[in-house]
Amino acid sequence: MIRMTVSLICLILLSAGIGYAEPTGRDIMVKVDEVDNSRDAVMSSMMVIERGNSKLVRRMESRTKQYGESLKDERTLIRFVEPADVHDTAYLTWSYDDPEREDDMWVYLPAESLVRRISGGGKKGAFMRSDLANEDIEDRAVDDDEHTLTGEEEVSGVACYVVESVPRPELKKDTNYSKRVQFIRKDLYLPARIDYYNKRGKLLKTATFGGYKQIDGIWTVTRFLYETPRRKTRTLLQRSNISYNQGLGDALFLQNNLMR
Amino acid sequence: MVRHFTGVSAISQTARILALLISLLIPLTGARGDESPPDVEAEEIEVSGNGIKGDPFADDDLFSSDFADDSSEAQVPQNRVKLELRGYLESRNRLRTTDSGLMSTRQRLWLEGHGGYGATEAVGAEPPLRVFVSGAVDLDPAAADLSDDHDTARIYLEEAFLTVDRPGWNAVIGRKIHRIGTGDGINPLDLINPLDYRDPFATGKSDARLPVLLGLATINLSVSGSFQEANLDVIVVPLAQVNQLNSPGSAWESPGLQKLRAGHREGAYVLEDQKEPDRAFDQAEVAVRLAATLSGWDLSLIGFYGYLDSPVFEREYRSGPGVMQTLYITPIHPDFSAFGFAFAKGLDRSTLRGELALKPDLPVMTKDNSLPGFSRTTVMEGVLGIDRTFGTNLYVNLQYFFSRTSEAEYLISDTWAHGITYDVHDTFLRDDLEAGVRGIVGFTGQGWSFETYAEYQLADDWLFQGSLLFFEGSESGAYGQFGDNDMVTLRVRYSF
Repeated sequence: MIRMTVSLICLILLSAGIGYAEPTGRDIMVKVDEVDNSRDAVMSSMMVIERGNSKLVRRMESRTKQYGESLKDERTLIRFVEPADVHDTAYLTWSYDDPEREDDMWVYLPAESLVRRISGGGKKGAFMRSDLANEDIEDRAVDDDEHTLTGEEEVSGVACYVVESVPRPELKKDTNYSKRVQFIRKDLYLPARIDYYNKRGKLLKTATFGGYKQIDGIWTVTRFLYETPRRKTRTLLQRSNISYNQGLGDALFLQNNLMR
Repeated sequence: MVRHFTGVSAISQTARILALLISLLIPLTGARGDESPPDVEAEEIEVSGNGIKGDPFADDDLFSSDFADDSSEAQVPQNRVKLELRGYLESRNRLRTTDSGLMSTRQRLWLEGHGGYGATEAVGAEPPLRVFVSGAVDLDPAAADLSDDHDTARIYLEEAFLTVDRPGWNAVIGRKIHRIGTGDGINPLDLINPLDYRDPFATGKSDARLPVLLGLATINLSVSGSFQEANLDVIVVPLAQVNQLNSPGSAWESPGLQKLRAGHREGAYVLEDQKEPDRAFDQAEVAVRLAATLSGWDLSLIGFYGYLDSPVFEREYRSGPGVMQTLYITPIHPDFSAFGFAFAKGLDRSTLRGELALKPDLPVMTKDNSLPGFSRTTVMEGVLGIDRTFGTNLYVNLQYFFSRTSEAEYLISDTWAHGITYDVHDTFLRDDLEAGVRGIVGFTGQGWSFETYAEYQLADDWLFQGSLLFFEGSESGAYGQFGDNDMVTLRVRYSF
């Protein structure tokens, strides 16, 4: 009986040990991906790009809806409000969790009254002349990168996992980055900071996250600061008017809805 | 008894130890496996100042000044009236390089307004009733000096339409430009809007169109399987609008038209006024488009019935006062039909696009002086193009186009006409500057166009643009005919 007890205790301690084993980088990023478990989201975004003495202002409205059996596919409609020369320009993206499947993208150009299919070729370009690349704003599937937990560190006084995310070999040609070092808050599973490294392995830019708010039960980052020291520019991005699970209709995410 | 007691006791002790261990483990493992979000009120998240602990922007003023008005935005009400007004001021000046003459000194105030009304389907959705109106005041003394195509000052309405958006369908009524083709600049199936005869070239490789009064109904079709989206569009233009012939002296008056007018002046024949469609509903245009997105392909089938945008010249002898018969030449716009297919497909960093149009019984001018001056034949037109972004922003767009005309030996058209369009541009100076080349090269006598351009954006409001546009080729070619119109364009625009 004593032997059985000892065996059971060992078994329990062993399983408890497994339970306490350090999570892998991928485990952490899966959790990060699961924080926003909404079916749909509506928000306004404002971006201020600081370039020396000048400031550029962008405003946009976006709507997102999840699709697929596991709600991992996503459709996003972004409509620009400012600056005036791109007012009403709209982007519709259907992105798929399956890394083998090409995203579908369309742009509506109001000056030409034209809806055009576009490709993901411009992912590396700057988003609206900001410090963000187009790839920074798109939904990135967890398995687009190989994630390694490299340690733990405090950022702004809170404990964070440090996860190094390296693009899968076949996706390296589509990104500006050789790796991203992500500091993930242990309490919220949201990023506190991301360091972006260029293809030569040098620090390219840093994103700092804040304005954490619990909206409709979902912890959300509402403020972002992207800094590119080499260009001496920085971009402040703020999301507002956020609401989740509004029951957005499928028709909002059709090409047909792009035109004004 | 003792043994039994001892046995029970051992099991009991084991159970107690197990229970203790499990009770210790549950909260610890449960904390990791708990899917409910951490809560501030439950003190799972530490509050600090105006935000939670570790929020770098909670207490500083980095966001407070620039975003002050943003944070004051209210949630969108469910029933709303939305009105917005914006526009631009622009100075666009064109100098002809061949004789240093000014072709255009257009100063423009452009205004456009949006309005919306109605209960939205959800927060952030567009209201179901929407109005869009755009118009301008143009001053163009240089172009007005050249021809009657332009007034020195012109106030006009450009687009003005109402959109009704309902679940499953939407409708648009009003003056509008509506494009249905997928090609870049060469669009055999964009047959609804006529060419802007005052300013026919938007760029070196694309034309400019004018809005028409139309009604458009779109029905969203239910989809299943690999189909991701399907729509049926029906477009009705109650009175067909066609290309205006340029007035004498206009920079865009073709050499062929100049010769016709010269013959008229010399009395060789009578060139009558352009005979445009003028009976509403009797001379309507109808287009039907069945579009679907299928496994990443945008596919559409298009049918069109309407009136030829570019006129053919009808020849007719009429008896005069004596026995002499006089030749009358009349620019007319006969009806015709077109059927076609368009597609677009994203492929990695490229996009493939194409259009194929069959135009049976299309009116085409005859070579000889036979009556009535034109004949009907079958014409097939097609475009196949690819664009790709290299590196960060180097954009390359190449497109092959062709047309095949049946029984062309009697007609002014060649059996085969083909060529390419191209567009190569990149961005510089932190994306403030875009520069590139674009144009069209015809391989069968159409000539070519070549434009090199640069545009610089200063802050958000100012755009400075300069371009050189050249035309070359035979006088009878589509692009060579404008060989005297090589031009420099300088444009400054302030958007508000």
